Amino acid sequence: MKPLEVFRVESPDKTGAEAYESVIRDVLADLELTTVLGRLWIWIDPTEPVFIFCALIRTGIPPVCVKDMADISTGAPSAKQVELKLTNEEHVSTLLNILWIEYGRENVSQPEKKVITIDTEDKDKVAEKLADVVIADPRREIESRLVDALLRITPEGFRVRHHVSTGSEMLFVASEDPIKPEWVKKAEDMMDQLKEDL
Amino acid sequence: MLEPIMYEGGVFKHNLVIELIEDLGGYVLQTNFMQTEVMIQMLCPHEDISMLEDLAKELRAKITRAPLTGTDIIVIAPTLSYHHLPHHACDVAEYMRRFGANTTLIGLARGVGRRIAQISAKERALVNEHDLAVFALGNFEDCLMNKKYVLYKDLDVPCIITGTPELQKPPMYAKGYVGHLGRIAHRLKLENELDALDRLVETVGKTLDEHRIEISKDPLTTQPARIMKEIKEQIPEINKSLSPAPITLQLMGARVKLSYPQYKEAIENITFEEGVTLREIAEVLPSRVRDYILIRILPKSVTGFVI
Repeated sequence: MKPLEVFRVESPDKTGAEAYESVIRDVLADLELTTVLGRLWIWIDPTEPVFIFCALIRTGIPPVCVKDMADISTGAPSAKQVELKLTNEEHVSTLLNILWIEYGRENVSQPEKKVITIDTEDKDKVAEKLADVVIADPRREIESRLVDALLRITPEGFRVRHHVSTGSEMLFVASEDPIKPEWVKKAEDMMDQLKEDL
Repeated sequence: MLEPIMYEGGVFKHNLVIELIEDLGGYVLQTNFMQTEVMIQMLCPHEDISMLEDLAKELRAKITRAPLTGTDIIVIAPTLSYHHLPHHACDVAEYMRRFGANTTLIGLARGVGRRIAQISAKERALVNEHDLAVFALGNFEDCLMNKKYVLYKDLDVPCIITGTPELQKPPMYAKGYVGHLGRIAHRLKLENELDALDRLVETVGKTLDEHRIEISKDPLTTQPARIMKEIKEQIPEINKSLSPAPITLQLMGARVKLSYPQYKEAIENITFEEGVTLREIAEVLPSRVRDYILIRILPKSVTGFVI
């Protein structure tokens, strides 16, 4: 899926839809989301009044685990510690925070700039468990930006909201009146059509 | 009749312009220095404009008629959220300042939506203190024509609406409408956006001119600019105000940025050389803006004389 390969803003009011398209482009550009969304379809009917937002999110960068940023070793058989040799220093502060919470400050030390050691009795188990601990997840940060964009795009008075969000798609219906089932149905149909030929 | 004029030129010899205006019986409203440039907003007697033009030509300066000079305009966004600010509403407010207006920008507490849009009595009273209100509204014709009028239908001041669609006639209760100025999430810099801003200034200017003509049928007892001059001379504390415009002129009075409880008496006791005091020719009221003072000049039909 290419960035914004489908970008539709539709409304019975053609002029309004064109103006809204410009607002959406500005908001997506401001929040650096143009490459995150693959397909986007928005339907606004002010007379109903309803706002429907369907988007397919492009799968992006995978989360960063401990094994992606450090070589984990258990050192000599007699040593009761796990040693992390950092290969990437970008998320070290987050890593240290996680280690302190999990193993206690007194057991975690950093004898050298690129070496972190954890004192433990059960070093094999710790080394194995540590490898897959997620340190940073760019996708979560993107999700929060997406929600921000969504709230900026939605007409402000439309405060009754229904949303379904998975990792790869986002469906959102908003209105100032209680959400009608036919609006949700329409949104689901739009989402199905958006997912065709994927 | 006094004409609102804007003078843009060098600082060199600009005091000649100020002296000329004072000699002609006009008023200097505001002087802004920008390094070696100066911008003077003034009111000049209509029949003497040619003298001012000659002097401006000699000093290589530019004079233009600034129809918004000496007016107090309020720009209203439905709320203060990201949806409506800063781009559209602030750019509208800023653009009108370039034509001499004093603009205030507010966001309503509950101005959003269609069915739920409303304006409070306090907000309405605040808006009614100004000469004209500009409502910065949105993209859809149905909202503009059928719903949003509740925000301005009970206002006493003329209202100009801005929105995206081009409408044949202004929405109900509105004095004017300007299209292509709806919800915009970027700085207004494209050609059609600047054209729309120019049309807005033109519409606002025309509405204010109509209002001026209406006032001239029953003229005010004195000019608001004269009250400004007297306040500056008789209440020196006004010069200590840090506000860029300590006295904001309006078509029918002025807003003075001094505390109402503290300075009400002093303002009412201002004496003119004809022997009358301000309390005889104007109402001194508390403003809805902080604790400022609002002066409303009474017309000739009430006082029976003009000074």
